[in-house]
Amino acid sequence: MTAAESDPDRPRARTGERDRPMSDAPTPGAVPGSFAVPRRYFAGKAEWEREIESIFRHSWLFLAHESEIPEPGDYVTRLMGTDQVIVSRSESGQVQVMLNSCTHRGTLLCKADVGNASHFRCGYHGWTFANDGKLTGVPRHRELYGRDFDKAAFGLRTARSDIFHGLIFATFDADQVELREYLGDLAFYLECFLGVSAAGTDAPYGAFRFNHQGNWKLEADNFSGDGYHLRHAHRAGFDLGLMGTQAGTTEGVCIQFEHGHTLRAQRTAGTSEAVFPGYPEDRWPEIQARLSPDQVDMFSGSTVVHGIVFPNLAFIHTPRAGGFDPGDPDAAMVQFRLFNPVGPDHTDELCWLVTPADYAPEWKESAFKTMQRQHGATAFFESDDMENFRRMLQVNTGAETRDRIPANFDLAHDHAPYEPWFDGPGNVVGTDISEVNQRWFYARYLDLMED
Amino acid sequence: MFGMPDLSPEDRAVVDFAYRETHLLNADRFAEWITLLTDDFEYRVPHPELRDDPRSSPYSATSLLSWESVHSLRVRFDRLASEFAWADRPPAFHRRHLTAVRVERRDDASWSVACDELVARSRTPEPPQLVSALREDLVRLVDGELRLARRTVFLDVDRPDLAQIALLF
Ligand code: FES
Ligand SMILES: [Fe+2]
Repeated sequence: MTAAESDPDRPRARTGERDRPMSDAPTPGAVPGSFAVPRRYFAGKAEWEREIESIFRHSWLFLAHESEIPEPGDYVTRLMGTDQVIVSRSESGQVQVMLNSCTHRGTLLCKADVGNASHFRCGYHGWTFANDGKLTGVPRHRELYGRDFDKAAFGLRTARSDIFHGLIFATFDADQVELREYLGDLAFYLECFLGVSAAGTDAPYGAFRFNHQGNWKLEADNFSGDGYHLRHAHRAGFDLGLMGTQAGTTEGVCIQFEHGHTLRAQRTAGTSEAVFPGYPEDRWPEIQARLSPDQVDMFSGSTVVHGIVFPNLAFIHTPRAGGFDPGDPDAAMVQFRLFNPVGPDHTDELCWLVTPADYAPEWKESAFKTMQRQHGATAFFESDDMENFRRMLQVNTGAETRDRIPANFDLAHDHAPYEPWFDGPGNVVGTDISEVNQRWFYARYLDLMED
Repeated sequence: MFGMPDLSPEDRAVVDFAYRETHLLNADRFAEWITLLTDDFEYRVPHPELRDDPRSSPYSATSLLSWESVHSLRVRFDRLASEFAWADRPPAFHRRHLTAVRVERRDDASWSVACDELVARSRTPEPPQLVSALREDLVRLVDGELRLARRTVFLDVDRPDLAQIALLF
């Protein structure tokens, strides 16, 4: 099944560069040609502003894990593109996503990162909003605003929000499709690791957040399916034996989905039984029962699954035999990673470890260590990627460089050495080293930017 | 010493130890520094998290920006010594400054050590950084030698940039 063929609105690559036109077909096997993205998209202020308008205002954006706000009144403050929002659980238990801006003169209403409050009181003139966004208090309102003042007209602007296996998403676009439809066929694959336990998912350590220099798309590009950089950028990781099962004999696929999502997966070559490395063996029957037979085929023997939910959420699943410190149990690490562009050259980033909610604390701890040391804020895996991103930024403002040398995505147009070992949705290409996913991501991106 | 007139010789040795191991980090003498750690050494940087109430801790009780063990630090140092440490080639200028080293004896063989630390780091194109932190250590006597058993770094930064946390404190 191919999403690319069945979707009449599939992204079309655009001519992005005078002397290096992009191919009409971002998928391999079709007209091979050069796929290039002009550098101005990675450094320009005008391009960044257009991204916010054309992409971030209309997409479903990830915000938080439900377990970060378990009790009524719990809240976290986050970003949707460039907008500050409050993600709260109201007194009735509903998750609400609201603009974090007072409707009087607009001050940032809630200044904390996290907390619990039944109301948010503005620090300027004292308007007070309930944690579901309703305006409940206006100092001296009868006397100063008169009897006809309609508080209901001044509630906080609330986004559409929805939850997928504990993951809270929101959008301000009333015309966007429902979240489940937006995720589309990607859900089949996300459920392979988000759906393993009847108890659901959990973010047991909460989120961690940092800023860094770099354009947000480089992370989307990298996580969307850059199998090519692994053995070079992360060579030290292979040499030091940290890549675990990924270093053995593997086979892989790159998959593209409607709305711009992608996924890259590898498994131990020739896996024939249902095996779930990184998961406690006594939970394997439950995993097998909860996943569909096609999902079991896909996920069995998995060494790594990573990809993106368009535009700015990455995920990575990697089982690690033996844990990170001697004596730690095997554990599968699932990280979600959100990158918000606070400018063309600056990214605000949040990361979560997501685990099956009812697994043992020792298992979660082992997974957390693996996450910290492979994909944490100070982990050298990430630092070597970030180094490339900031060095790209350093050159992208050079006038001749910016105008003459586009970013190239031609890798492996026809290269598909593996027969996919499962029957799953999306446009499945039998390769784990290709820029097919990046072509898909940028084609969707350019389509939205140039419409 | 000025400001610390009444340190016992044992406490004095712990203060000296703090300066000595920090000097080894400043000098990139990681092979020597790692021998000063206990086998169960842990290094943690709690995640700064702002809450409205000034009486509550501004650090997450669960989330960390960094969590290292002797094993993981050895891997980090092996990488630094390799040709493929892209983010550290060329290396950054860096220096750790310790002030107000406080020691408190816990029992016969262990001390709590706290100090205020200022870490300078510069590496183009990242802007030069000056990061302040509270560093809390646990120091133990192992076979008659002082060893570092735990280090917790409380950053004085609410939303750190990666350039500010790239170094060990
Ligand atoms: S700006 Fe919020 S009450 Fe006036
Ligand atoms: Fe990478």
